[in-house]
Amino acid sequence: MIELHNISKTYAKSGTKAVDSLTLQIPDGVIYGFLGPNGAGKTTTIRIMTGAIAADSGNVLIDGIDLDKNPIEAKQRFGLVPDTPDLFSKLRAYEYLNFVADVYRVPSADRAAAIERLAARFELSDVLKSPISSMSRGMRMKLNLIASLVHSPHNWILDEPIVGLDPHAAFALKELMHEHAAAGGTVFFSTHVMEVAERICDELAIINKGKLIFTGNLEALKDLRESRGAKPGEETGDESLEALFLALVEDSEVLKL
Amino acid sequence: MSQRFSSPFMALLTLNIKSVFAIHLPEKKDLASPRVLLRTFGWIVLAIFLVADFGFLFAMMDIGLYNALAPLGMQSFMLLYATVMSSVLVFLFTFITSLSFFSSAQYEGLFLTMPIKPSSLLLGRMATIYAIEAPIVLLVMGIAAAVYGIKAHPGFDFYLHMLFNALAMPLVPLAVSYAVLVPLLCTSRWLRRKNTILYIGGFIGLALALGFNFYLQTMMARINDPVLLQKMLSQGQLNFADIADWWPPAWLTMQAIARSSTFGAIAATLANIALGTAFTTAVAFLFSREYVRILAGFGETHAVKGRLSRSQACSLFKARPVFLSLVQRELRLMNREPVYLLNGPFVILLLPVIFALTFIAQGDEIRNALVQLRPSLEGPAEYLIPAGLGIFLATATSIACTAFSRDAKSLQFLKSLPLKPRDIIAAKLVHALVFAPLGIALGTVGGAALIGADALNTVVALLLAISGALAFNMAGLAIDTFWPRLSWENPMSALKNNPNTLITILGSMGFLVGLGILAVTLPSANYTFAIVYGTVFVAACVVLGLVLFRVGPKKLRRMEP
Repeated sequence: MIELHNISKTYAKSGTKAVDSLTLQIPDGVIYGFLGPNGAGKTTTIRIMTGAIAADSGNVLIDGIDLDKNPIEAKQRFGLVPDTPDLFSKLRAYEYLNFVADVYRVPSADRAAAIERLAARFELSDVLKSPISSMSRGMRMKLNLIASLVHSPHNWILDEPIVGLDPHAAFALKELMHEHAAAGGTVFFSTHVMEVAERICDELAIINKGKLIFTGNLEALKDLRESRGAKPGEETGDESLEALFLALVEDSEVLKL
Repeated sequence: MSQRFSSPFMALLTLNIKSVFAIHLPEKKDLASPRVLLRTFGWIVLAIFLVADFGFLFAMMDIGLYNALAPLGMQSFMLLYATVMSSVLVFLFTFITSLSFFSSAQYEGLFLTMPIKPSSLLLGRMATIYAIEAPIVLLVMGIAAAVYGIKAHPGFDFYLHMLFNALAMPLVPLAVSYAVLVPLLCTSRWLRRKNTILYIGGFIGLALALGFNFYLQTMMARINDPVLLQKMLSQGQLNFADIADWWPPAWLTMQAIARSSTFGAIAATLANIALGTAFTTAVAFLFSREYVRILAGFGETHAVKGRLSRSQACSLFKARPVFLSLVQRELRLMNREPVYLLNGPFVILLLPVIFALTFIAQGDEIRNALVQLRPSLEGPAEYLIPAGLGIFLATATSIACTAFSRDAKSLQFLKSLPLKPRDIIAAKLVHALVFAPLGIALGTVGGAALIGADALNTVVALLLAISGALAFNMAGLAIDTFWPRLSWENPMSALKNNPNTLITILGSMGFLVGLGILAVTLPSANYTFAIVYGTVFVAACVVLGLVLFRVGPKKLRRMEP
């Protein structure tokens, strides 16, 4: 379980308030989508919840462990897929995986088995000796997915994970996300595409300009859609979830004005 | 209302020049900030210092040559020397710059999707390189013209010929460089890789710097001995003079200068400009299609196929202590980036090589100087000089003072891992210290051997060098922990163009020179300074250790690119 309590963050250089009093509770056993347009504050939120940047106020609990007070223990509890797959391009794939496994203190036998299993799943077994710089964007993304799971974390945090993946890998990823949630783990992923969230998520949160504008499950979102005039079961048209997502974003901007 | 558009070529040229020079002058309102004002002032001083430094070097050589040759009535030989020097320098610089620009071919490939003619693309690149090289020739030729002008009072047309021939001088080298490089890169996929280009360019650049240094030292030695210079001149032993006979731009320049005020001089200058322009244009049109092919296929890579066997997997995926893994990561990321390797650890080998070349070129002068200096080296200087050399070499790699700047792109991910900030900082310090022993060994032991220090002084120097190198590397790391340069697009900005590198190298040099001066000027017992400086270094290590490992982790948590 991941809990965010009243998180706020303003970037000192630009003075932009990227996240504004955000409170979220991401329960175990669900796939939780984090939606928002570009620049809404999704990546900043993920960076705060993974300890990459510090929040100005509020706190983050990973499985009840305070990230600020016990960062090492808290960070051991999650695996992160960052939004930029271009990390450590001078390393070879196996060197990168080995580094991550060392950092998470994965025993030799366990890491070899985990890497073998995950590499087979994402069809990367043949290129583990390759320099990361020689890999395509999609392959690098798959490598980051493997690295994030090498220590079998309870919480899986993914920042825009579908971008750059081929249909086969995207399918494998969705399957893995479902398996992870079914096994009682937490899956938290960000996207700016409603269609992706609609197909994968059990619950979702929508953020715009740093503020939370919706939380709940897909049923609640559909109820909201129907309360706005759409017929039950209607999947397309102006009041599709995509249109509702855009309307919510627009409404939040109007309210701000 | 009519709208004016630049031609695609002009638009491309403007973009290229802006990207290369990338000088962002602050606006008037920004100068109100003391920080911006200080930074701008610092950059201006540095630019003036660099130009003045090279200008002074060339001026001294020109004046020396003129004074040595004037008694023989051969002072115009100085102009021949300046012309040949400009020709050789511009040829080498142009070749290396043309080669280096291929390293950004992957980005240039974007222009292939735009309606730009291949010839415009190549001509645009050549024009950009011309804009870089022309000021170098103008500096060398301009100084020679000024020295000759002050001493010999030639007519105004002399300056015009010097100016126009200087402007024409980079054109033929530019054409030759692309006429060689384009076919070469077309033939090999290995050459069409960024790293290959950076390594080859880097090594040629180093060889060029070494060669230039060797040549300067040799020339300075000859200028200091006018009798030898005159003898060599009369016997035709100065082989650089031959270059002017077979390199057309140099030959035409000399014809123009020698025949000033005549039609022949104007013809030679015009011929030089025409030759350069024609040759450059011809290459741009003849090789443009191949150039585009290089851009289109640059950086093509393929993943290394091959499944890991079970035994391989078992041996590769072995658990290691986290700290060791962190240090190994630092080493790999630095040593596999050509820009970092050549300007980092490689410097430890480069500086002694430069010194060795100087010694070969000016061996007698250095030996004589050492003999004369020997009496003043008695005492603290006998261990302080080798210690200073060791400390400088152990710090000159810039590993510590750019440790976080180089990591800017992966810093956020690194911080999301279950790592103690203290371990990250310690791994960066250990990385710098891995190379320090080599610097200490070469600098201190080499320095001690050079000045003939005895065993006891060498041991004292080694102890001082070890404590000093640790202190200076910790200081460099502290600077980069508190003021890292985290926003950059080119790795060069993280190391070579990082103010922290300059501050640390110049700071350590200044500090060491200051300590040396104190030791020479203040009367004291022989080893008092060893005790004082050793104590200062150890105390600095303790203070810096507290700063790095107590305050540093807090700073790392707040570090945001």
